[in-house]
Amino acid sequence: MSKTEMKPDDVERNATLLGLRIAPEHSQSIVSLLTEIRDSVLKKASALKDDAPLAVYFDAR
Amino acid sequence: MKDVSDCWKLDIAAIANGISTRTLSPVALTEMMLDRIARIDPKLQSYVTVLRDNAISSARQAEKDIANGGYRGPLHGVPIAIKDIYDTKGVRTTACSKVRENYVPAADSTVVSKFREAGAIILGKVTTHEFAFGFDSRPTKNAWNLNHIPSGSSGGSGAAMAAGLCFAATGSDTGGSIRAPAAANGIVGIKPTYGRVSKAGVAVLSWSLDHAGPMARTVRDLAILLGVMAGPDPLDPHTKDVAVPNYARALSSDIRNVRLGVPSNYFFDDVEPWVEEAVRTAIADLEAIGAKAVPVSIPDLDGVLDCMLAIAMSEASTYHQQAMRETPELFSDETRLLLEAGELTLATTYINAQRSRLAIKNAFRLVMKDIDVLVTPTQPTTALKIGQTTSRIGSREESVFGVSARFCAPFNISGLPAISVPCGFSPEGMPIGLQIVGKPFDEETVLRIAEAFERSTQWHRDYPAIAI
Repeated sequence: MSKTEMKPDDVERNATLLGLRIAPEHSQSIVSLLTEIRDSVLKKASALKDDAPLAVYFDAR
Repeated sequence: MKDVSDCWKLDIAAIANGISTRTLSPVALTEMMLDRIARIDPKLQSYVTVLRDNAISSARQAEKDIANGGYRGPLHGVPIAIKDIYDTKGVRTTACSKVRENYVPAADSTVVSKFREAGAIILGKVTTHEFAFGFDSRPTKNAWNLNHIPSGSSGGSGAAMAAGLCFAATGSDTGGSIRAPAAANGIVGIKPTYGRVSKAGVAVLSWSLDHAGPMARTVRDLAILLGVMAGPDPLDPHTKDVAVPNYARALSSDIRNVRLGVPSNYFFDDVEPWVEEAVRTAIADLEAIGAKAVPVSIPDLDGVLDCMLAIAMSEASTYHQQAMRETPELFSDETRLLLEAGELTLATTYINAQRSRLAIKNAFRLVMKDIDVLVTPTQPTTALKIGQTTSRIGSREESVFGVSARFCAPFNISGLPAISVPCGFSPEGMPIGLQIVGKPFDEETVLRIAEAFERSTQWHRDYPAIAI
């Protein structure tokens, strides 16, 4: 899966769109954290079948 | 009535015996604990709020009720502490955050309500890492060495227990927050199965990973406390309608032929040598009293901490969404960063983490098929120093979060019950924890093995100098 590297500007723009005031000095740390987590979780999930279920259940009772 | 000045060393089982036979006075026990808090806690800083007048008034009522034949059970008249993320009616519940500085709940959380019904005396509220989202629990210190953290997030509960400033405390555990401070402070703590204990009225960190549970001096006390806390609750849809056994009655020292799964990978990777030695000695101790050690291979847990973090950050940022728009500056810098990142986590990342979680749970189910429990270190190392931001073990350098959650978080992801019991000390005199993990809703077996271990060892009889 190809991807474009996230940048601090992207984080700030997305935060603004969401009405979120992020601390300016956090942008780079957020990029690093989100990139690491996304890549790691994606790698873990790549071993799953496409229809592997979600571990969150709704009980209609 | 007896002199109670040394009774802080006793466990609830012993205290309850004295209270029920009216040789120990709940008022004297409560005053003794309040005096200890006033004398010791300025150094330890484990209490956020001390409820002196309320506690003494409740103790007087308990003493009167017991004298009139109204003894309610082993928690009646026993002074305990509540982590400051559990709502307490009419008492400030801050979550150790400026965001909740003036929050006074109108009702008790379900667990607090159950403790009050059981007759427990609430001494006060103890510290948590801000909103339970971390492991250092500032400003609380470790009772064994004031230069070290008490771990967290239930750091106030761990430190107060270790210093003899309560007979039990509540904790909550999203990635290790009961077991890590239990290990770091040389006490016991159990994270029950997901859905065993109600979280209604407990501030949310992560709906799908949070577990409420007790922390205490002995395993027998955990059995008593869990018996009161456990059970389905209409106010918490995550709880399951599974019968609650009499945990205290299920305890027995006989663990002959119990199968202990000893991981051959992951849980002994990059562990301090004294931790590995203490845990392997503990396993040998369990074998000496009849258990059988069985080597097991753990499924691939690479990425499990990132799955946990993706879920916790996303759910926490949802819970705090309004506060993050109105008063983001009131959060600590560290919490704010995690909540900002949580808002910007992709939905697909969250969903993939929840899908991976189910695969991890299923893999543990296969591992547990041929064993009764898994035994592991609770933590790869002992409590870190205050201000330490990373830990290095061999060539592995990791964050405070990484080192604290590495062996605990897999059981928040899988929801399995897990206990930490003291099993030794580092060369610097810091406590080491043994983690025992059971099958879903089989806290009985976990408690039974932990209690047998405790009976055959003396680690729980050591007290930090600050307590004496």
